[in-house]
Amino acid sequence: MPGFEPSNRVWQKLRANRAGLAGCALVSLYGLIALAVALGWAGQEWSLVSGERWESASSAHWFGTNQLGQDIFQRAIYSVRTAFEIGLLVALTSTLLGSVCGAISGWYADTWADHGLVFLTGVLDSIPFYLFAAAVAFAFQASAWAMQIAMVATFWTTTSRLVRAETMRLKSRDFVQAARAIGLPTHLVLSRHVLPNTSHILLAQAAAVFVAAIKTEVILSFLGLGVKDGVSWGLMLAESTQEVLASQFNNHLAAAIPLLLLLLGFNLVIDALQDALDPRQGSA
Amino acid sequence: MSPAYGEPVLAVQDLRVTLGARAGGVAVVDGVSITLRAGEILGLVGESGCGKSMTGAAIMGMVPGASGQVSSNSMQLGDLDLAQLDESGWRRIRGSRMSMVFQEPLTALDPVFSVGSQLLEVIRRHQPASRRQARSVATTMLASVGFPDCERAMRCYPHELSGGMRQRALLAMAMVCRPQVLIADEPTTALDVTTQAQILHLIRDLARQAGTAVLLITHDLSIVQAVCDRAMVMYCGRVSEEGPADALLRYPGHPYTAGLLAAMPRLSSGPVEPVQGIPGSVPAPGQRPAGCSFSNRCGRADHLCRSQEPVLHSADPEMSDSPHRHACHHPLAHPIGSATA
Repeated sequence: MPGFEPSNRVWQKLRANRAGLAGCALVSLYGLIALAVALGWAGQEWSLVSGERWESASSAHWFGTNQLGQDIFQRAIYSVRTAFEIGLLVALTSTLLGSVCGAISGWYADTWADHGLVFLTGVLDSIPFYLFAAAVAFAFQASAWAMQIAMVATFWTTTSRLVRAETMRLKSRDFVQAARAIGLPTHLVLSRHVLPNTSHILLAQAAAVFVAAIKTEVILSFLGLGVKDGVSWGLMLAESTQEVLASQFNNHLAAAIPLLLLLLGFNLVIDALQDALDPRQGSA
Repeated sequence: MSPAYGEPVLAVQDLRVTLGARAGGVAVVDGVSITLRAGEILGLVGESGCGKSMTGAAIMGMVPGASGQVSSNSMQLGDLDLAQLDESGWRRIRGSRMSMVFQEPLTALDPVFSVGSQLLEVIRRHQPASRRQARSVATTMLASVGFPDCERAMRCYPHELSGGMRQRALLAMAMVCRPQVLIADEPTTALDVTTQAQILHLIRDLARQAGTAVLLITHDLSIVQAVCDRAMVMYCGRVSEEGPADALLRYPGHPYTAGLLAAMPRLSSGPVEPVQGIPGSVPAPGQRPAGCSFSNRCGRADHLCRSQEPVLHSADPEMSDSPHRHACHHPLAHPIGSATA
């Protein structure tokens, strides 16, 4: 089959999935907003007190103002950047940590290194997730990265577990033996031949961690353990708890709806990715 | 650089592989001695579980360290003592001076990388070549294993190639550094018959050109007949018979070799003869009978066979150093002098 490459097949499958495409469009839109904020083109006046308390929506303040008279639209837009920053950082770090630990654990399965790592992931997983994240964030309160450390510490275990299982499966495959037979040392066998073959797991798992990080940020920020400089949907929701009592819903809705749409978009993308990357589906 | 045709390149004396050291240990390879000569193909024959693949793995230093223990009296590759090598020493040898071809060509190639990048990986691992030099070495190698369009073949992914082409790509990877020893573990078992012949002749031609000694592991005696110079029959981790391929196939001395030959289906114009199998199956390691390990399946076995283990000796009673040797107390009789014919 000339010119018929696996990347094409994945792309064709992705394109055929309408829900997945809609999700992609939604996530891309958010991505562009995040980029625009990061480049200083939008959302820069999130902390400026530019109006009265609780102004309603107008051409000057699209979503109205909050308790302090800050523009809610600016704050909602800036929060997109916060969410992407945290999502990307946590997804990349925990995928890296999880894949390295998982590959080592799977390659040296049933040795002390593997036993140690499996024990560690088991212990971390047995602690209720939000309790653990909150505890770690609290313990590292002095650090600007407390929340990120807390999330990576809890999210890497799932990636590690998945990669460990896949590594154990791949280890006995001929091409891994062949990689040894051409004289590659173990770390190159793992990084060049084992891990690239787990990329479908890593990609889907990184996307799932991205979503989980954004959700967790909201919860931790709501608890006062999250974002310290800047604004996020979680902080906006925390503010709005008092406003809702005064029948002011703008702040609440301006945080909840964008969050909902982003999570929805991401879940559609993840589903589509898993379908497209699954080698067992469709003809090869 | 490459040794003259017929010169010994690999000499292994009394190779033993023991598996499961914790549970007392079972010898799956038990005192095998192999000499490989430049440009020559040695066929290593036997049923599944006779230790032939483990012999190949032990020669490559690739018996899994946790489960297996390898020992030998001596293991020499040219003037290099393999028994003294540490893991990094082995890594320098593997892929350059000794290489390997596997049975299943689809799974032996990494599915996520192109043929070209996998071939370049071998070259750049073992040769001080620039990117461009390595590329030209790679395309030349692909041409010499029979790819019609090398530039396109470099970009192909394993799933885009047919079984025969994949095996050619693997051969290119194995032979690109002109190794002294090639271990081919059932290289054609997964291929259809016409492709089998092409690949076998390709292996023979490449080996002759590069002066590579080939250890061809197979269960198929017709492959031995087609391309091997010498043959070695293994049973239960031991060598039961060895010798020049012609002599061994025409005048088998060991009843096991004769049994394998009788089990080969033949095309003939005469009445159809039923293929004869060897009764029973290979005993599991650790459950081998005392004396000759073939005695429980052998029609010629007697009291001597069940009590005393036969050693390899010349098949020709008048010539004690005949290259044709077998380990049997009651070998099949052949005309005098025919064993070395």
